[in-house]
Amino acid sequence: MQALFILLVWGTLLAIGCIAPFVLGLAYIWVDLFQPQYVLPELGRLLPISLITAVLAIAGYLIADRENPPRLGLLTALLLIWATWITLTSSWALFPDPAWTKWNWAFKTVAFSTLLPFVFRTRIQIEAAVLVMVCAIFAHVLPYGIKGLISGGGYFRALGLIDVNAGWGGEGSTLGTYAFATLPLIAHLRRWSIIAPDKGIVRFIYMAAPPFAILGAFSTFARAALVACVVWAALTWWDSRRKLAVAVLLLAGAVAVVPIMGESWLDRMVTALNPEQESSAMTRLVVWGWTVRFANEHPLGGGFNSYLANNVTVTLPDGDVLEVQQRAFHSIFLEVLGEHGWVGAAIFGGILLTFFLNLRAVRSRTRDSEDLQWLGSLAQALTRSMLIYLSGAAFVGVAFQALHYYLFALAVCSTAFLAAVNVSTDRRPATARTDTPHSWRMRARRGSSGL
Amino acid sequence: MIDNFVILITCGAVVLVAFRAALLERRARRSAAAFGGRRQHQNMRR
Repeated sequence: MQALFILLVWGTLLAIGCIAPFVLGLAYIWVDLFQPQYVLPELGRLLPISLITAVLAIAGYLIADRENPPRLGLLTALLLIWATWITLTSSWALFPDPAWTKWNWAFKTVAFSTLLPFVFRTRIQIEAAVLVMVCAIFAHVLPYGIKGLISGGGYFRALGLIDVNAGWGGEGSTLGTYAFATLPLIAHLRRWSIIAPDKGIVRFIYMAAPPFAILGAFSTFARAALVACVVWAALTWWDSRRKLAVAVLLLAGAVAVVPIMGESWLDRMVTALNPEQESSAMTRLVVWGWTVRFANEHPLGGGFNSYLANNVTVTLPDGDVLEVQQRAFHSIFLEVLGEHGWVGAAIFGGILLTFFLNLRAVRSRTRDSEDLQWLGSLAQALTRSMLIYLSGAAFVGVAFQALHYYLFALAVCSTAFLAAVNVSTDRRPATARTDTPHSWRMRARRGSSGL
Repeated sequence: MIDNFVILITCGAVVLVAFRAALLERRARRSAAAFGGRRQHQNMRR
């Protein structure tokens, strides 16, 4: 029954995509984030859902949706360089077989992020992409939130739709980071959404989403989620107008979380403060130290999964001996450094820097335009979302997971939209330069009033 | 039970979003076409 419903959803998206090709891009995002092939493994064995959707999305664009291609910039160029560089590092990888296995899906993630700006060009299309991302992520976060509320959650407990570590939705730290990273996007949608405006039942969904995201993230007992939560709370407080009221609210929320999650959750969170006294945290520190030394020896990178080379023995302050062997990087930054060397780290750093600078430019250019306030808000939400994501990802190896590549793609979409507006307004008479080319409501209003 | 409920509402929401987005996009294109036609007509009158 579950399989039939998921197939029905997939089929409906593809059917709508036949009329509106950008929906095939939405279908790809849904498949990539919801991961039906992991939710129902038998479905994955029956059909290559991801491959079919990707092929249809590309074909849909090429056949029926090639008008007005966006103007791409430095961010897209850097993403293409990144895709090339990870291919090159795979060619000299220390462990070729596992490296090419990871390259196979990592390359697709990076490559598809450069294609999405061609598909999502208008306000409605960009907003639909954000909404589908949020819905697909919440499909994995909500079960943790609801079951965590009932049972209190737990570390390494399979409370979600998929098995532990089967995909991002089964990995506690990644799920917690994703949950907090979506909160700024939800806040943006609540204010500016045309597709799901903040009224009626949707208002209750917008109100309920943040508490369930927080509960879902904390139910994983992942410390990365706590780090992401602190950054989210700090950004929320920093941007708020009523700083005292928000500070009191956040503190009250923090106090309320402890009795809901229980003593065991608090005990685990406290270990983040003393990493030397907890073997999991200490292992990460040892691996990170090894990674920097490894990158100095291999500045061009050791290829995907080069962590397989680590074999370190350290003596802890209490005299115990800790042996670290073939342990994963457990950090987005160290993963990039270890696998793709200092060159790869520079390219990835350049992508992040360009992302933040582009969105900053979008915010400053839309500040004075009433019709583009939504775009400024989206740019701000994407910036916050990335900051929260990176703070949690600093403790998880998610360099090639999908979410931040979608954020990159949406940043390119925003910049391209703004460029299209500027070109459009430059070509039009001064009296008509107040609306955007895609502001259909304004056009309809003007049309009916005879202007 | 909880999993089924979550799949139902989140996947249902995705379909609704896609359907509404396709509808709004179509309306926007029609509106833009009408607006473009009106402007062309006004330019011709000038």
